[in-house]
Amino acid sequence: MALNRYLPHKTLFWKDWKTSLPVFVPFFLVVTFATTFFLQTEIIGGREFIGPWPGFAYFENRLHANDPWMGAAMFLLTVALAAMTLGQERERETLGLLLAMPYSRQDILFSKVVVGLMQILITLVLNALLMSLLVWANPGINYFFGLPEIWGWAGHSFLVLTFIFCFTVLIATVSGTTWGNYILALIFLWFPVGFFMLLYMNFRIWIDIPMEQFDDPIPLLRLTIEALFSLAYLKTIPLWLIAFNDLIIHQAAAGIGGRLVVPYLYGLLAILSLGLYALAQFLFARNPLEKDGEILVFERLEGFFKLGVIICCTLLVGPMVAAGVFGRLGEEFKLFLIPSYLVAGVGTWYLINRLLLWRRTK
Amino acid sequence: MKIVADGLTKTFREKTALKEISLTVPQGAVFGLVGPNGAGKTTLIKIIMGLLQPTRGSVLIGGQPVHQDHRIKARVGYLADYQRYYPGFKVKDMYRLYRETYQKWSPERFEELRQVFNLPENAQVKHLSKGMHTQLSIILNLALKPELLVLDEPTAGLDPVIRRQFLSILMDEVAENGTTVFISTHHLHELERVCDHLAIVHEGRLIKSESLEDLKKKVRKIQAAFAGPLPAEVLQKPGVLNVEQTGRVYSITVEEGLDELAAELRQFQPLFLDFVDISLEEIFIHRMGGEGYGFKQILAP
Repeated sequence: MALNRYLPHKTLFWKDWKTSLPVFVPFFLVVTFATTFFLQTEIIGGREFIGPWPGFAYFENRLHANDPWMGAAMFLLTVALAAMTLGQERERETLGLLLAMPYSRQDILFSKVVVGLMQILITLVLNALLMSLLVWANPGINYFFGLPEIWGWAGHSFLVLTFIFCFTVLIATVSGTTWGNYILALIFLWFPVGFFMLLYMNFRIWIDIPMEQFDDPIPLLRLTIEALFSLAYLKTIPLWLIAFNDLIIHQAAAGIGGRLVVPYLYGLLAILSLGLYALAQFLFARNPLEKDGEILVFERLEGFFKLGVIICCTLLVGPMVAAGVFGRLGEEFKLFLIPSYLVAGVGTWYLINRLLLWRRTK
Repeated sequence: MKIVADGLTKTFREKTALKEISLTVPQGAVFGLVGPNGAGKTTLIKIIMGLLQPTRGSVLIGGQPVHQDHRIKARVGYLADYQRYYPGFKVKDMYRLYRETYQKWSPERFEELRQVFNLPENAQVKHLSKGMHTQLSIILNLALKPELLVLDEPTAGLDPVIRRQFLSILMDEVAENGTTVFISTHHLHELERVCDHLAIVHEGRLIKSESLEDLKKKVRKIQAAFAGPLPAEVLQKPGVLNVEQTGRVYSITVEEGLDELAAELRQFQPLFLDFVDISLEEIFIHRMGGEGYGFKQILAP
């Protein structure tokens, strides 16, 4: 069996590499800044602690001061990298050029996915290498992570970002604009978490459990939310590294010595990513090009997307409207919830239809 | 390469852009596609190129269904009405993209044409004017040595000199390589110089498809002068596309029954009666007038 069946077409690969540089470069810089550069800064700052252990709190505070927005930037840039893959080709009307060439749609999408994943892999491996060199070149400094954690981070991040990338590529095959891809990918990456949280919040309102109360009357729902949340939270560097080491240190101190992340989660992520890619290929092969520029290119999916948005907005805005009127929880608040749901649902239905129509006529 | 379109229908939501279009482009022909704006020409071309999927019907290029077999496109050059290229690319990057995509790519032909059009190799695509953009597209598509060239408004944005140069290059291409050309344009006098077959589309329907020679044989003009006015029923016969009257001189454009009409006119003892060849542009205007498309529609906002 010819190997080149499993490799992207080299001309498409070159073209996709060149056109994706405007997002790849910031992505690379953000990751490098959040990891290698950050570690280097810590090493310089940590020299004074050669010898006695400075205490966990010192590192924890230093890292937490930097991590959240870096983790978020990495996540958002991965979505951007994937959203641009097809979005830009549609908006610049160069997809027609490619499709008039002797390339199949499968070739075109495959090359884009390989380029994106390779850019992510290069970024992670290069930074893991640099961080390993830094750790190796600075012996005697008290780190709370070493080479296994660094390479563990690279592997973990690659799988997680691959999932995000493939998910966004899938969205890019149903949406006709870069911004549509970007926003829908963000919404639907968080949809399971957001949806269950909204359900949970509304349940609690209906059964009169104050938000401050710790005892949970619906533990299954809460567990579902937490499980989904930890999946969606993604914990990329340095978020994940911190959480990981945090637990190892605490667990080691408590004599547990276990690992936070179970291996099958990674297997699941890899299988999900492959499934998302296969689905993206299936949908891209059926993409009607005349719908480029519209938010959704498949009319049949409109109902599903509308329903999802309407339900979420109803669950979110309903209690907000009711709370806005009464300013507190109570029996009368609950009675007012039903009309609030209706107002929120009908309002969202109207707005979403106007938005779709606006893009269609643009 | 022969193109066979059979029963092509394309619907965009509520609008039907093409209605049951069937046509055959013979191998080696220069086939002109004309029609008013919004007639469905670009939609038809995009379906032929496999960019749009027809709602009904099929297209075969060289006997292959282009939607199922993308490899056929290696033998087809396509010049879109305004082909977009990657804005970050230079001319030489586009050259590389085409060179590595098309097996029959000719670097010599590219260089020769690049020099004819005087297109700088290091120019950024985003800095090219519309005309230069079209020139680049022409060069790239001719250098890939196509067996079929599909051209959608290829001369739009070109100055008259370059336009003439392009048509001459196109004719050389057809003469030397027997390339089939499918061309859509509004420049009918240019089309008349180069094409041997013609199709007219209007509101998504094919209203005429035949060789230019047959069309020009069929559609002719009778010029005649009479001492008195002609009865209206004579001028309203089927087959009469247009009647213009200047004083006592009548110019009657006829599509069918030319000889019968001439015989009838002779009964009114004309002062003179001549048969005049008419241009493709006149045929188009009169034919479209017959379809209810006239200056009112052209001038309407």
